[in-house]
Amino acid sequence: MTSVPADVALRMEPGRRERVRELVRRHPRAVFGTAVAAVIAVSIVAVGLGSVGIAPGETIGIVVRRLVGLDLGVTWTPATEAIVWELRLPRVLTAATVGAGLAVAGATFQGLLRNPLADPYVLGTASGAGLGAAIALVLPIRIVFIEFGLVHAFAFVGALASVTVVYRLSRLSPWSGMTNIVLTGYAVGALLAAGLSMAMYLSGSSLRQIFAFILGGFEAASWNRLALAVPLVALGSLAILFRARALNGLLLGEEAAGHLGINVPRERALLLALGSLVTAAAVAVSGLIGFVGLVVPHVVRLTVGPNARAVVPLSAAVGAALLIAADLGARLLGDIPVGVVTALFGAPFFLLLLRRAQSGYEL
Amino acid sequence: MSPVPAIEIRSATIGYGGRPIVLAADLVVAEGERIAIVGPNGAGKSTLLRGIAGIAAPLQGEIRISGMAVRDLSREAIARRLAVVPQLATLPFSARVEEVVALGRLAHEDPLRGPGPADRAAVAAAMDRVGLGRLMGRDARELSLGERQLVLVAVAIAQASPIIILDEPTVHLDIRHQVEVMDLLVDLNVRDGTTVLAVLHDLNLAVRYFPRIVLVAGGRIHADGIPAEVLSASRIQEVFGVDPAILPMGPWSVARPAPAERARA
Repeated sequence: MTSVPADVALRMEPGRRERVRELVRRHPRAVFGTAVAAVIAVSIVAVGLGSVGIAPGETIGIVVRRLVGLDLGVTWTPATEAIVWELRLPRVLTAATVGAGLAVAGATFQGLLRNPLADPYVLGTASGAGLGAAIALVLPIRIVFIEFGLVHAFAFVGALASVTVVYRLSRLSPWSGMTNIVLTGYAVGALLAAGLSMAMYLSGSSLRQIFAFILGGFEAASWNRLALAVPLVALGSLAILFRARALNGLLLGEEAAGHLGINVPRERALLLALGSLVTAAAVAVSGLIGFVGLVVPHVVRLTVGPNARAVVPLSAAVGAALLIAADLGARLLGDIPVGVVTALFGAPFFLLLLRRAQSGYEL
Repeated sequence: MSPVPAIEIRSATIGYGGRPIVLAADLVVAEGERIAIVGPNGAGKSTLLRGIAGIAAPLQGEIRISGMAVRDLSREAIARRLAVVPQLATLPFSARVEEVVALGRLAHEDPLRGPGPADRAAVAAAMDRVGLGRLMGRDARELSLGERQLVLVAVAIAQASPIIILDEPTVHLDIRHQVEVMDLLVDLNVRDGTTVLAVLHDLNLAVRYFPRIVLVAGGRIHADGIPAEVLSASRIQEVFGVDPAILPMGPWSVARPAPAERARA
């Protein structure tokens, strides 16, 4: 876990705890640096652990040699190299990409909808992607193009299509609040979930695959799939970071943001599209992984405050580290669904953090 | 050449979704004026403000600030010319007072890099001016309603726009803070030359602190001029449906409902 302040704070007297909290809050860049270092450390550990143990030195040696062609004087067997390069590294990096994407999308939707309960799936993305994947699995057609099957394509399209429908149906007036779109999202989501349930009921032998998609996981990670998700998640997140000003303005509400100089109707549409794109990319490669997108932005805000310029990049780093660790846990516990792990360990940690938060999380 | 007025409303009908609320309003505000807008609930005061701020577009007529049509200006350009203090704002997440006040700089700060030294100085100065120094570091959601209203005033001051518009800036304030905010508005107006336009429900504050009063009733600008003319006993009776007792108090007069006649209204 990268939230240094909370962990450290547990072991300190109130006075020092306060001072650490203050220090952390005043230096978001240092916190971000720490979080990125944590992502790298967790990655090396995650690549090393498994049925075959691999020393950190070997992992670093293999990665450096592959990426920059430099020999660090470490030796390893071809089997080790295959495990690191072909199996574990793509899986770890996919977990990192998806974790970063979901956390950034969660921060975006929470800020955009001004709703602490929002997560990347709030506007029907989850049911849309689930239904898309289910339809692809039930159809008796199998098309695979550079490791991308119908499932990924349909999940991606389903997620984006459901958000588009929600946005079109909600009839937002330019300066009104976003309650309408949230409720529309729930309604459309319920409708799609009914379709998903029906597809599962009728799926027969595909049921297990559909269920695996809904629970999410990284067993099928590969470089090719990663290569498609990374640009979407990275560019989308970067574009969201560039709109941090709009997210900050929305803290005070739609109309107030307008008075502060934010073109709310335009920024809102852009952020909605970007957040949905990042979510869809993450969902297409990993299925539906819950909790990360809801919790990580809150954890981040509790440490560095509500400024989106700090919240967005830090959420990416914390989300990446969290999901790598969760996937490692899932792998070590005998390939249980990663979503179970994120909830099982994430929820108690989040509860602890809420209790320690300086102020309550009223609505 | 006559100077360009700060705000110019020419026979503007303002409303939402084609439904007019403010009807054929005419109002010219010169630079450096200090004006109170008064009127009964639902008269169209807030809609008038939203029209000036470009949130509600005129259905007919034209609204200009500093000589430029509001509809042609970007939100950022409007924000640099005109700051608006809303009645109340809620925060979805906890935020410190200084973080909220810093939002006043959104139209000035570098869109990518965020606030620079000049922005931080403006935020500190705005907090000082409103007397929020003691609330530094506090969660804005834990403040009293009155304190939150002061935070919103500080946001607008940090925005450093030549025109400031306030929607009911004193509703949640106790009498001391009401006077402090009014003094602050006069100071901004006299010392900084800021054009001040404030919607007020308290007629006495309007009379006491504003040399020009605009009375809005039924979507129309009913009267516009110096307090003694606009808020005469007969007009208060006509517009608010209350018989006032106008009590002379030094150089000002105080209006209050006449107790004996209240039942009749």
